Amino acid sequence: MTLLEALSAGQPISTMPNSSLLAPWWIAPGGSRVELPLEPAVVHAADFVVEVSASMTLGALNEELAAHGQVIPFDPATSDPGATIGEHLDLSLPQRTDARFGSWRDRLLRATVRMADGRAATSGSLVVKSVAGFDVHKMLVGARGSLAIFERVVLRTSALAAWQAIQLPELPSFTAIAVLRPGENPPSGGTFDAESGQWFGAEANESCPWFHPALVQRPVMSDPVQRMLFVRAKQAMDPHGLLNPGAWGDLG
Amino acid sequence: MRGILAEDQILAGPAAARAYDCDAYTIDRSKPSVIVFPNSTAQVAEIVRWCAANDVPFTPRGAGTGLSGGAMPALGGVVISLKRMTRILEIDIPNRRLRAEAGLANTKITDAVRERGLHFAPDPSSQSVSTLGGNIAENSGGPHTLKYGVTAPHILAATLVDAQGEILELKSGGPGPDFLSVLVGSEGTLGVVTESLVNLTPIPKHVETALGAFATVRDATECVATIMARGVTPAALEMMDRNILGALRAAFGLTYPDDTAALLLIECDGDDAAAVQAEMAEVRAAMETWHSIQIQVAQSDADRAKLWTARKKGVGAMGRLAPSVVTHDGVIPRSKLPEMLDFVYECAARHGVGVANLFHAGDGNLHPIFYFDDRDPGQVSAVVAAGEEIISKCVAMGGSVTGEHGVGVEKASLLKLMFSAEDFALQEMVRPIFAATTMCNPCKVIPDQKGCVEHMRRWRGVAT
Repeated sequence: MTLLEALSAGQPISTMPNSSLLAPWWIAPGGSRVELPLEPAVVHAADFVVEVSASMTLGALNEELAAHGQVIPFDPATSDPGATIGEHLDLSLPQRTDARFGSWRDRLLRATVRMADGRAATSGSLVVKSVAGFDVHKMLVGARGSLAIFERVVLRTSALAAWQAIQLPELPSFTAIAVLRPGENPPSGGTFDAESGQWFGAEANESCPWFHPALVQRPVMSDPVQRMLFVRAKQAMDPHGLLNPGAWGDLG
Repeated sequence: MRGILAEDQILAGPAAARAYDCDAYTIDRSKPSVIVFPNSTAQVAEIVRWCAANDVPFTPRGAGTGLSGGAMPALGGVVISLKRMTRILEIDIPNRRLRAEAGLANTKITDAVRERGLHFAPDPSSQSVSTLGGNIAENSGGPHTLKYGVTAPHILAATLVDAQGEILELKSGGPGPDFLSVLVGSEGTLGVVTESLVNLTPIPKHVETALGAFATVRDATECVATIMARGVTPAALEMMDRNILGALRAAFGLTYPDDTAALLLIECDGDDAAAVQAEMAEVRAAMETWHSIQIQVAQSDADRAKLWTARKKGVGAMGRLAPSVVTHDGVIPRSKLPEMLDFVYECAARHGVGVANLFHAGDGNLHPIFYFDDRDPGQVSAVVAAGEEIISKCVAMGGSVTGEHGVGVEKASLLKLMFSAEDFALQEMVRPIFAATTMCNPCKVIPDQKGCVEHMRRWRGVAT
């Protein structure tokens, strides 16, 4: 069943990855897995941007971009070439490449999303700099598809040579990703702190760029203001709870 | 207001209303009933609660340097000026963060941390006076946006007084939707930002700056396209045309080679000297490919400041050409710069208005500057018509109606060139998330808002 068919029938849907390495980061939503449209990517090589279906895998996109000497930079610790662009945007996991190349949110210039009522809507622009209208597409990054579903997006690309020159050290596990800045102390060590629900990784050093502690991944939203705004957003954007229901636990 | 604020925090009367009836976009004007100057987040919250309870529109304002009418009190009411909230609240050097009140001028942030080798990267041309809150509202860019990004990625948290007067602390990062990312750039329509935690960026150890002169605008724009297509990302890549140079000559006596039609100011920076020099070598090669008639490279900081003079003083110098200027703002894919600049000159000539260009070429962010006499209604109409035609062309080329000046009242209608009814329906969903009403900086960003259309004719007029 396609996304549009499911929403038109009022059926809850899920866009949680089936098998990619990103799946463990999700709280499994209650809806049915749906098919998303897949159209060819359009590479605007001279402008370093690409239009791509959210259902295209990161690996497939980077194969196309490589022919133009370009890439969507990624950190193998928190990205999976076998996962789709939409799945990466839904999670927005921090990457050690963020400081130099920008985060998923920085990279997203425009998105056409499917709203819960079945309509498609676009936010953002094809160009690298635009302040036209509210940046709804940026707000949706990291929302686990619970407010709208990414269908087609425009991403900023980077020069392949610059990314290949970066050497990222291996991390002990896929989930050990939060690297703290010098001078900042984690509340606990190890790779996962069950009490706080936080993952922690190695300390920063010269070869290993840092992340701000606010970027440490948690399975749930812990900030009360963010939780309050999310509840309002869910009410405004998906009042019937069709989009990835339960992906944020008891928040919807 | 007298129940909330001291007497010297309230300004009213015809002169005050005239001074606050517009920002730096002077085409449209609307007078406020009162201007207030709170000195704390708590006072802002009280003012907003009073406005909400009495259904009075309110408009946040920083330094009033906005270029799209974002701080114009479209429906009158209360202007909330943040200019007395200028304190730096916390400097955290190890974590490269600074917390300040929203009325602090942009450059004051860098002034506070420069000795520690850090700076606040967003650098709008108005940065000596434009405020942190204004930069957040407009998601301001600047010459170094090309490498360092606009304001949004540098904002780590913000204190917001929402449209009901509730105080919220929004933070960036972590799992879940990032509501701060939609607050930044919302032009004060979701509430009043009173404080912010900003990211500080290390000052690069090595900087190379070059100024290239070109005999044709076409050569200069082709050079820009070549540099960007090679994957080089200069820290800044700015362009100034012949009319800007004429104004600079008249205002400051600055001279450039006689047959110069355009200048490119290009800066590369980083901590690795060899890498910076390699980038600049690529830039020079591109300039030579496109027949640059003169290339000056800064040998010292004093040299660098001299090369930047044309860029920094260009807009101010425009006052020598006409009593009024309107600076437009549109974006195109960078590869289409040559075609677009040809169109800008043709369009201005057809409408019989003067135009100069000084802009962020590396981002494809155009700033056609029309110079005219705003006492002449015919010239005002011609400027508006030419501007709208140029912005329409930007959209037709796949670009945007605004790259950094914002939508405000200037471009609310033009936004329909980019977005459909469904797109606006998605954007309208943002306001209820923040409990925002149409009384919070009304008539901005979203077109055809209830109660605004009938006021539009009242805003527009000629200088009196």
